[in-house]
Amino acid sequence: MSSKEIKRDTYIKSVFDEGGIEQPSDGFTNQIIKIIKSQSEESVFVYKPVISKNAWLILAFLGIALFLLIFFQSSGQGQGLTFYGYNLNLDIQKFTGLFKGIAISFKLTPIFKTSLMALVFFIFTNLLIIEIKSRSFFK
Amino acid sequence: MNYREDSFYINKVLKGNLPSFALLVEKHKGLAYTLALRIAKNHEDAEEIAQDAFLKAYNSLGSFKQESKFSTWLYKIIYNTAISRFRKKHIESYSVEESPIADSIQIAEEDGLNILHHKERKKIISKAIGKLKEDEGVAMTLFYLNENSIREIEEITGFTSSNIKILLHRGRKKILFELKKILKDEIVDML
Repeated sequence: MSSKEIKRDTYIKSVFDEGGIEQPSDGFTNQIIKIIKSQSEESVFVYKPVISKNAWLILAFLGIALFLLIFFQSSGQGQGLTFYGYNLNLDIQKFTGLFKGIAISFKLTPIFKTSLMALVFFIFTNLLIIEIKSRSFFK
Repeated sequence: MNYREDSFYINKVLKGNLPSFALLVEKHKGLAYTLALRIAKNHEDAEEIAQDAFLKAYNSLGSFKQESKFSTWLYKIIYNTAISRFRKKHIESYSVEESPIADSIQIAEEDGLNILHHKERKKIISKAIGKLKEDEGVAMTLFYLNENSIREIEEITGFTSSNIKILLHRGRKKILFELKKILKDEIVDML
């Protein structure tokens, strides 16, 4: 670089330095932060299904519990279940008949039945508690 | 205000500290806005461009690899935002303001001594810089004002180094010509 070019470059640099950096309006930074805050407020809303995953699990366990209750009542010596005059007893013979070809037989002892019902009840109540806690109006 | 290294603020922002981003904006807003102004040529658009670019930078800060300089990354966003907006605007309206410099020529001719006041001088220089084409303005600003290397300007603008050298060469010639036109040779010497 020749001395003339160096001189010219120094001069242009001084011109740019003197022209300086332009500044935006006073509220520039605040405006940006305000927009970011409003963006993050919008993103806080998370879609929540009407029937949550826990609710579906509760319903599933409720269904299983009901099925087991009817099943055991039907297979036991009890009178079975009736609901508003409808007989809810399962025809256990028809049901077990489906598995005739399979050489597996099992007999449920009363202790096993009770334990199974207790387990279903335990899971069900826990899921219910979790679901209730997750609802905002209980927080 | 004395600012710390960009990485200090970036790490804080990534941990959710918004005031640190405000400091980052404060630190870089001047040159970011100046670059936007070189392309937009008016204050309103330049401010919108700079604002958009900072928001983009905030939203994609997680993807910023801290191997390169934050300023280079930010100015690249500014440049791309400004160029895309400028192109859009250019299509909408072909009438680009050509001669905002006319007033200052009048002032310089009427009373040359006035321009020696710092404010006036700054105004005239700004107007002369404003006469540069968009890419020339960006290249000159980055090279002379921010002291970026050709390599960094390449990274920001996506131009080749030979293109940048041409832009700088044209920019130098034009800025001298414009200043001479405004101030007359002897006043340029006094600056």
